[in-house]
Amino acid sequence: VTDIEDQEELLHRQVNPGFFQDEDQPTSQVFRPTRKDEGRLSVSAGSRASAEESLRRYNERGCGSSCGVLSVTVEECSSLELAARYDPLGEDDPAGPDDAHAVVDFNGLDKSQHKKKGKALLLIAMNRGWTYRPDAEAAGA
Amino acid sequence: MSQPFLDAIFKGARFDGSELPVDLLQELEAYRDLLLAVARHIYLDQHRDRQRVPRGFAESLKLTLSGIQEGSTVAVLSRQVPAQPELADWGADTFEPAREKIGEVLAAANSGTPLPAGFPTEVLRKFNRLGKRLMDSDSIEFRPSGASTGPKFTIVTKRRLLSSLQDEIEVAYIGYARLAGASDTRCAVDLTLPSGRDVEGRAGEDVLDAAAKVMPDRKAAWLRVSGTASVDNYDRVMKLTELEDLEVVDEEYAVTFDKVQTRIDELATIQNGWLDGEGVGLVERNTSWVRDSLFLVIGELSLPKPGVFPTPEGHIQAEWILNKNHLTLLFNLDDPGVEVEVFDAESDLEETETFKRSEGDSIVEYIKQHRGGAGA
Repeated sequence: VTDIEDQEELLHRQVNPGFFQDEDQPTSQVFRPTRKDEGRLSVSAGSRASAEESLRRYNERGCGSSCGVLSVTVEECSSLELAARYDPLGEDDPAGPDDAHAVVDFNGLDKSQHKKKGKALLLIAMNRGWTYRPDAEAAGA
Repeated sequence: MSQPFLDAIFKGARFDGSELPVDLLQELEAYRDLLLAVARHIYLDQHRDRQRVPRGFAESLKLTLSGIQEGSTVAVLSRQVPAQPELADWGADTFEPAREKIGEVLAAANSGTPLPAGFPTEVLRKFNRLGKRLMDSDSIEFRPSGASTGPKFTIVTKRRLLSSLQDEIEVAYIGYARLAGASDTRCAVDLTLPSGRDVEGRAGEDVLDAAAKVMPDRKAAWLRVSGTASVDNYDRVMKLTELEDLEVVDEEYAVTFDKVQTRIDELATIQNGWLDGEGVGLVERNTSWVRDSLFLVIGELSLPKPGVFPTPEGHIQAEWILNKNHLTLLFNLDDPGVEVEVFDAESDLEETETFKRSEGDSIVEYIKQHRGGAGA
């Protein structure tokens, strides 16, 4: 696990269909670690997988389902005092390897801080816009 | 001779300055009736050989509004004290002790302690007339003239007082509902609340006319309704005892209400494990109160359609991104209540407050006060 040094690097976060409502409304819960995350929000490092590739890997590895990708940079996380680190998954991971896996570290923060930072990250990501939406691509095809 | 008797001090956002909305005069009238009922009880308790109070007893209570003062809004009540011969005939004055007794009852309710021993149920019921015009965030302090403080009366006080009676209580009401019908013979407008509950609204001629004008083309139209509602111990609206006003909501909001309703219905079908193996289905299938609260907030604050989502813990969360702010209402279905969070990304400040599910108008006021630049 090493810190990501490139401040411009995008970190891709998968959006569960339950966290997304028709048209263009995701919840700030997208950017909040769940209980099983143990304070480390899973993302994909943009230098190792594009937004599209990160979604394909996520769905194919069977660790969940994603209906789109929202992204923030390492610098944007740093501005919220959140560290981003590479955390590649090896063959021993139950879902198989993923060299692009990375984490945004929420450890040491209380629940209200999780909420606040989740909202701040959502606002940043929505300002950037969806970095990949299969539905939008299909609709435009 | 008129003597100062009581300061009724109205507190709440709408009572800044020294003005009293005229509809709140009803509260003073209700207090007078309560005072009379308590005085009657005290008199009969002191004269157990009598079946009723002396002739002219009620008329002897001459309570007047002698002034409005600043300090929130202070309604100054004076009392014309009867001539001494009458007092001698009836025995000791009972109206000042009645004022003190009402104070004791309110204080007991506010502190959660037992009511004064022997306080009769039929008199307790009179408290239902008080507070019909109060919003959740309003209060009235009934301060005896010359005293430095007095007991407060709020909707919470009222609920506590009347909870033991298992009766419905009457409260001020603003909400949104679909028009289902209107009847001149019943003097009633039939409404369907967002929760799906059908209720009757007792209405006067003007309101019936307004409903009749809407009916031919737009039965099931969404309406904003206001007046007085009778609610049960679970805060469910059972009927509108006085439907004072109705207006058809703009089409934009009608569409929003329909979409939100559909979305909440969808959430009720989610299964355990929906969040990549985590996440439970809604912990409570009855989400009707969520609609009532949510529609009130959307309508009163002119908000756009919110995102409505499940939480991993099985609750419902509504969210809006408003300029650079984020507004969240977390509906706790386990222990019915609403957590309101207003987050300002620029200042990184977040204001949060938790409300009971029945405190819809307090939620609206809170968001109004804290949303800053987060206008719709």
